[in-house]
Amino acid sequence: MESINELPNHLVALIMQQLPIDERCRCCVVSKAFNTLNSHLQLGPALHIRPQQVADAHFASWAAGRLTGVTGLHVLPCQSAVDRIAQSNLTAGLCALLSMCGGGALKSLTVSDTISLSQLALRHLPGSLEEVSLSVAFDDSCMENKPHGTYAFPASMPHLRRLRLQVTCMNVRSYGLVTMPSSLPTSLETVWVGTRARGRRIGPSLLMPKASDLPNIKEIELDATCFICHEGDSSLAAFLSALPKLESVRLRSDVRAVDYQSALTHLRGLKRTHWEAL
Amino acid sequence: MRNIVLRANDGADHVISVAAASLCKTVASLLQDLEASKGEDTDPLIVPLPNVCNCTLQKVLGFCEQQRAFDELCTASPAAQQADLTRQIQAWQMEYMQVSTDELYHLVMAAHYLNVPRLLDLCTDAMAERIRGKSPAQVRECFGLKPSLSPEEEEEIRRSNLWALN
Repeated sequence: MESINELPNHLVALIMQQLPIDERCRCCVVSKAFNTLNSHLQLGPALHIRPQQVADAHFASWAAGRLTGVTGLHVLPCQSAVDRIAQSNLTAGLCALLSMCGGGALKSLTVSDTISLSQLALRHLPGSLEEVSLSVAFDDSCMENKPHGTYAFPASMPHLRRLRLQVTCMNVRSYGLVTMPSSLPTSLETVWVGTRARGRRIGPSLLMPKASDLPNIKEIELDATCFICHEGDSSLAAFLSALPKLESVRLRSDVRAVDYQSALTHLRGLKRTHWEAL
Repeated sequence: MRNIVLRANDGADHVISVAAASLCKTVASLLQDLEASKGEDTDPLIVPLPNVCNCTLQKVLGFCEQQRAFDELCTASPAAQQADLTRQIQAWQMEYMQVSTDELYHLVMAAHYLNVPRLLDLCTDAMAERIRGKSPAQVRECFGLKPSLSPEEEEEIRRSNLWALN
């Protein structure tokens, strides 16, 4: 029988490219030829990893130096309850991986919304990102919106255009009010923010940022029991009217709290407005 | 239209359509050279393929003829039927790839030499499928590989790939 070892290296490389990275790594102990081929493996441009890999220190040390070509990092959902990993381990692992994606190549980060990270993850996002989708969960401290607090974006994220953020409050004792993270990048064009509460029947309300924090926003989509605005904006309609580039608004809120339908109908010059009950 | 004959390394000849031949980029390129040198001659164009055995060539040509037929069907079918057609193509390809590892080895070499990108994709995917989910020992067994690493080398490799081997 002819052997796969007799195939030219570039053909074996084509075969290996079809396999996920853990399968490729396992092949390293198959033969010398397989090891040579896989030991120089560089990851990317799109990298899909499982939560176990994110939290695995062995994976992080193996991945060091192999992530510079990754432009899109996707953390897949947990496959079963057995896969569930402590939030702190996942967050620390992800922050370590993000710090290795140097060189400004990483443009997109997507973490399955079945995985809740600590708010610390936000502070470690690389400045090169254009698109972020993740979920943070924290314990009755969602008001921690301070300029240098832990619930904040890094000081410089000049390319971030799309943000999808799920905020979950756990064990909420007080008003169930969540804020947007501080230091919102002014480059944002599309924002989706969803809120959830664990251990509480009614979901949290969302304290809106100042309109001046979102000068380039075009599309905004928010899910919360109701939306609380800063003094200067006074009402949601005033807040939305103060966003100069806004084209589309989509809101989901508790029908028993405030009727936003009428507020949206008075907005002029928007291409799309939509409200629905949570 | 001039006939095209592909000649395997054991001298066996296969007549094939120009459309099917064009899926083999190596053949298409050889044809251009041959046509230029033979001019208006109406004799069949014989393309010698010294690196491909008769059995494998037959299999490759079966792929090219079927793909050409599928291509024509895709062009002629309305959009509503495309999903059904895609399922038919996938089913045919799955059946086509029911070959031994030895045959697959020859097929991937031929697809590479004849430069048939779609067949090469299919072959490398089939090879990868035979590796997927297997332990290193099972991969060795599947491809008839003898262990080539010393225990020390294997231990060293295991240490640096712990996350995947645990």
